[in-house]
Amino acid sequence: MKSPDRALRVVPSPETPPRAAPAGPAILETRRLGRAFKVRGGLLHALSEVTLACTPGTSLGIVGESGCGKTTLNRLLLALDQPTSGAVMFKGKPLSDLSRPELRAYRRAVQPVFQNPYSSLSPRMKVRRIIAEPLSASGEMTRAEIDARVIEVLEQVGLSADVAERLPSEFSGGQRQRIAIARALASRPELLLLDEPVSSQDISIQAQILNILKDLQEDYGLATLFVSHDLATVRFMCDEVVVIYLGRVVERGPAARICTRPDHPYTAALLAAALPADPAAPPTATPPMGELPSPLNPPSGCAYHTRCPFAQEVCKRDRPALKETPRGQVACHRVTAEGWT
Amino acid sequence: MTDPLLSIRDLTVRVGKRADAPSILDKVSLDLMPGETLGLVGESGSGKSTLGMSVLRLTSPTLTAGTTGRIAWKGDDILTMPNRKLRHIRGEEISMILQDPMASLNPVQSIGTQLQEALRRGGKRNLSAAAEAALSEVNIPSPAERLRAFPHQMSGGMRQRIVSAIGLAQDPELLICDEPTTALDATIQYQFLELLKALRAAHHMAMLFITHDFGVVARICDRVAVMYAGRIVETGPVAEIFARPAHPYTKALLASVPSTGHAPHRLPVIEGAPPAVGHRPEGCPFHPRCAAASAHCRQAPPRTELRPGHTLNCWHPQEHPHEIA
Ligand SMILES: Nc1ncnc2c1ncn2[C@@H]1O[C@H](COP(=O)(O)OP(=O)(O)OP(=O)(O)O)[C@@H](O)[C@H]1O
Ligand SMILES: Nc1ncnc2c1ncn2[C@@H]1O[C@H](COP(=O)(O)OP(=O)(O)O)[C@@H](O)[C@H]1O
Ligand code: SF4
Ligand code: SF4
Ligand SMILES: [Mg+2]
Ligand SMILES: [Mg+2]
Repeated sequence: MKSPDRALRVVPSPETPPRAAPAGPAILETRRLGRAFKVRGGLLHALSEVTLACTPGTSLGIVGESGCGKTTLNRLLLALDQPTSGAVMFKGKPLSDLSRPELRAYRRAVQPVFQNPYSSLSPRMKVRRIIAEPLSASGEMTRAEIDARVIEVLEQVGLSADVAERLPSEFSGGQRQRIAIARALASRPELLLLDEPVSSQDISIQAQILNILKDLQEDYGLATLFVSHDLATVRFMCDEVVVIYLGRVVERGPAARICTRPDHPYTAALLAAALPADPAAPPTATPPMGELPSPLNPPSGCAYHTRCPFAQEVCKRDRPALKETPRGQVACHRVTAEGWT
Repeated sequence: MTDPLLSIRDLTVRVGKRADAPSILDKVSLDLMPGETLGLVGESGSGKSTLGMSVLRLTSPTLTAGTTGRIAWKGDDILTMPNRKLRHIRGEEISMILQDPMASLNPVQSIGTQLQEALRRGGKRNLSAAAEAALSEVNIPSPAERLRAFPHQMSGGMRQRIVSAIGLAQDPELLICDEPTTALDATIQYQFLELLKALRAAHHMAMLFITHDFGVVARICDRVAVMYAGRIVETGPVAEIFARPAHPYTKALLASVPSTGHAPHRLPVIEGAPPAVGHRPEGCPFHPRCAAASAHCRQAPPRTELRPGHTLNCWHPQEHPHEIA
């Protein structure tokens, strides 16, 4: 039987120097987090039993197809939505148990950047006010301190001070996304939650913004959670990757390993779908085919069995548990600690 | 040698009739052979959509009034042909698929009604059976039921396949695709490109494929033309352009794309942004952002043919693979 990763190439190249091991306790973590929506026709399990942690100075990637639950997870992490099972914990304490001052600390420490900078910036507010608003609201800084901070964060994202006096509508999409990042940085957060932050941008702009985010990670030890359906971007940005299928974690591991030697057939399929930067690249093993099944009626056993070229009888019957391996974690009947069987 | 299906010469599109009005496209020339797929890549605002729309004379009246040059479709100039003939070409010979499938679908009509209307225009009989067959061809599961559905009841990937079924109803000889996969995620994009390849073979179509994504070009195109500020700056066979890009802009764009194969410490970037319409720099329009620019570059660069079919407009072609970027 073929291994799902048989044709994937490993390109040796100068790599990002490995970063220091994750320092200290998690800023934000989830414990068996779940969210089910009541819809006509029953319960839709958008997210089930997701356990992960964002630790200082590390970047975690969340990957999966459209509709697999990435945005649902992001909304739960931001307390824009409440879990139906499990919990989101800020520095060891469930969000639902935080006191008012703790909640304020959480709001300051965890900042989102959304996909679309057109809808996320108020068009009639000057950039200065957009960035200063969360700072003024907290009442902890003087006017002069706030003004200085605005200029400082604009410079961190490669914009000049005079940008502060203009309106978002005067800027291109790429510049607006920088403004959105500057706003997120203003409160000196510990963790940025990025939901597809570059997918609506042009290629040259994507590269500029990804580099800025990487600078922020390295220069200020900022932790990031990076949601994307693009494995190439995740490979560049992240240390570790969590792959989600129909709301469940199917694989987790170091980004470099996930993007070259995936264990799970779904990860291998995502990798095959990632567009080649080079037409001469060999075809990959298992192109993803067929539709994502409805999350309202997920397949029995392993939810991926309807599309998996390696499915066996047991896959239709039993749901594979998420197991630890020397390479990370994986939920597949055909992968053991030693590898593919 | 066969004649090109589509041959564009010195196509200039200005915003209005005046000779000094700013131009969106400046003297664009290209050929498309029968059955060939040509990719048109470039950053947003470089004029890709304007070029695609011009081929069917679908640009706004201001732009149509400012259009000069020649767009020969099987030898006849689209820009000067009578409306009756143009309608025939739009209906039967050239179709278009756009980025936002909702823009091409009528939200209050069922998929079946819209598809049957296109099939009727394409001269098909037995419309309900033909509609079902057309949906199967684009891999829509349970096509008979789907015919009764409305556009909002479908996913983005499914809508894009419905739009393709409608576009193909008339068996076109040329399909113009304007960023049809940009709004789709990686898996759905992959499936849609595979589908287009199968349809292209089955219908013996040529394609003009507009995208800003080199990965898409690698998957589906035979040749590629790179656009910058309303001009084609480099063109050649896809494998050649990927292996040996020689224009500094092409090279820099290719280098800035992240890859699953390796993660550099930082991505090489092109600083700044492309010029707005009316602000195209003199000489080579890329010179303010170009790492290889010299004083020469303030004058219009010559067109050079590096190898058969691989041409570029640049004073300093970067022939050595590692010269810059
Ligand atoms: N408020 C809601 N009510 C019912 N179902 C919902 C709700 N929000 C999300 N869902 C469903 O939950 C699933 C996961 O959605 P989610 O938006 O998290 O996906 P995603 O991974 O972010 O997708 P994309 O890549 O398209 O952004 C989908 O099936 C979606 O339709
Ligand atoms: N009707 C119009 N009037 C004025 N400017 C226009 C018009 N249509 C397009 N443009 C401008 O022409 C440039 C090229 O547009 P377009 O062809 O849509 O680029 P692309 O498809 O490469 O993103 C853009 O700056 C756009 O704003
Ligand atoms: S458990 Fe079975 S169906 Fe699921 S991914 Fe593994 S082999 Fe495929
Ligand atoms: S002509 Fe000069 S400025 Fe233009 S791309 Fe070539 S080297 Fe760069
Ligand atoms: Mg989402
Ligand atoms: Mg366009």
